Amino acid sequence: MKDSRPAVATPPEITDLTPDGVVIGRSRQEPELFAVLFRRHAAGIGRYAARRLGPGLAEDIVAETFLAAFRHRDRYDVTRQDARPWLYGIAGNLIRRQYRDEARQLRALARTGIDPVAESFTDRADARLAADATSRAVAAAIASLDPGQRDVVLLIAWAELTYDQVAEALGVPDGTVRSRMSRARARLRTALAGVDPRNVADDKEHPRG
Amino acid sequence: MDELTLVTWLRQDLPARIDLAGPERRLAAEISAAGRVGGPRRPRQHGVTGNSGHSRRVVLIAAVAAAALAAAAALAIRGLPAAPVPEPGPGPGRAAGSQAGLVPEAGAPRPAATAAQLVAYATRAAAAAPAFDPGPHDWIYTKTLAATSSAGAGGLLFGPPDGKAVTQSWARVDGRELAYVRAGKLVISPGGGEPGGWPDSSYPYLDSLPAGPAELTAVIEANLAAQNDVAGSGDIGVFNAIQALMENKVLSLRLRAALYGVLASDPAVHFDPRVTDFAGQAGVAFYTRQEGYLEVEIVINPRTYAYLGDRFVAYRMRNLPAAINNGVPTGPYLHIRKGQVTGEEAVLESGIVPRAGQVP
Repeated sequence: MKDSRPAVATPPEITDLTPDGVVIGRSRQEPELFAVLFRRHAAGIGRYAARRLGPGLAEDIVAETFLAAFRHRDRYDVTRQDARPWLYGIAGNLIRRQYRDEARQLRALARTGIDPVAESFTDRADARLAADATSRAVAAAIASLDPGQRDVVLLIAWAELTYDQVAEALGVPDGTVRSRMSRARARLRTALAGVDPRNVADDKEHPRG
Repeated sequence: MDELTLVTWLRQDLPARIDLAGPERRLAAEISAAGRVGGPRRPRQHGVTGNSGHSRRVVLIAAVAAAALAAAAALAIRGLPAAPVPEPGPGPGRAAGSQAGLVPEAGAPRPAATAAQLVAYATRAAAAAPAFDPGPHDWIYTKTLAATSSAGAGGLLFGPPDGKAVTQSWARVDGRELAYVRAGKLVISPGGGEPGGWPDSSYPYLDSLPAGPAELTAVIEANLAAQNDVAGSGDIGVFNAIQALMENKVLSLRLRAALYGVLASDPAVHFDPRVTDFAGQAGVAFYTRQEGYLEVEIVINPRTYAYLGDRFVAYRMRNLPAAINNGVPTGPYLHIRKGQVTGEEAVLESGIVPRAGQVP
């Protein structure tokens, strides 16, 4: 007997080149596809969160970010190909709830030269590394930023998002990102005036060359 | 070499090792659960961008009595004694503000002792208060008393609050400039950003906000969602947004009453009828528990319904990583005692003035 049902088109296979928006759109009917998004972006978000708060909290933030994203995936505009701004925005809001801890740790680094975030990567008490004077000054300067400015600076400097992507991540207009960045840079410039970059270890290079 | 390059270098050499196994397991469990319920399904709607409305607050409550009932119901849900529907609060005309309606006179027949009473009395007083309409070039003056600690501070007090600091500040109503006193001199600087969770804190925008707790909650949650925050039942996002707004802006009594209505109907928020602010003033407080150890309080004058300040108190012991004692590391952890105040600020005076440096 001939099957009278209409033929159903097989959706294209998800590959490394499939845009995030397509993956998220498909995951609304095929939830397991959301794991693709995790494999693509969890490490980057984890590293960003770890730089801000340390590895322990970073693991929680990665978990909560992807759980929230999965639960709210129907909100995502699937025409946006790159989901990083969305995911960093969620992660950033979770990080901001720890802003008191973050500021405390930055000030601890500035005062003592011992970075609680770096320390938390090791269990060995004798593995403490004294930070150089530049790192201490930079930590103090970042700690002096208000939470909104700190988000903009670190999303650009550490997560390597563009201004447009930061605006999307924070849900604010481009102009707000630019004005926050401008004010933050002015404050950083003042705070870091006189810092001798030769104190920075020679093997450090700008990640973008 | 510019300042952004220096920021880029900080913590660049941290190990790349982040254990993602736990997060991946949690996501896999969530995905699996989603897949089991009737096969492929739509994710949960939260009513922010869709048409389903908010799952938690489906009833539009606008009237004072209804708001009070909602507050009483919310309190009952979280296991506290349900507050009775309040008797009428201060009568019309008794709450005329001495500073363009900012702070109504202390004329309530008795202080609000429950969240429901606070909402009802403040709403009643707001209806009779004169318009709050500062000009764009006016300045908002605030004088605060904050706790300090000889052990230092940075995000929180590193030790017991053994000191006090009085701060005077002015913010231009249009947000373009801020002013404060440093070393006896008035310093004017460019205005800052918006309070956390708010896309706009201009008075025209704030005046446009709805008064009903369900509607106002929906607006705040939509704002949070637009900024990719995650708000929902049991979430502290709404509370934190309200705290940030009250901490940074002098608000009309109408809006304060509406915000109290939101807090009173939020399951994540608790009410304490008897607190004392840092300046020794008796108050009531809405509070939440955050970060696993900290109670964050918004303190309110129960007679004038004015914002009195905020407090951060540890409700359980917590060892925070990295020890700081007078700037010297004494161990790997900062020990926070149960009951320890990690931050406290009281508003001593506030009002609208025509120029920075002036006081009401």
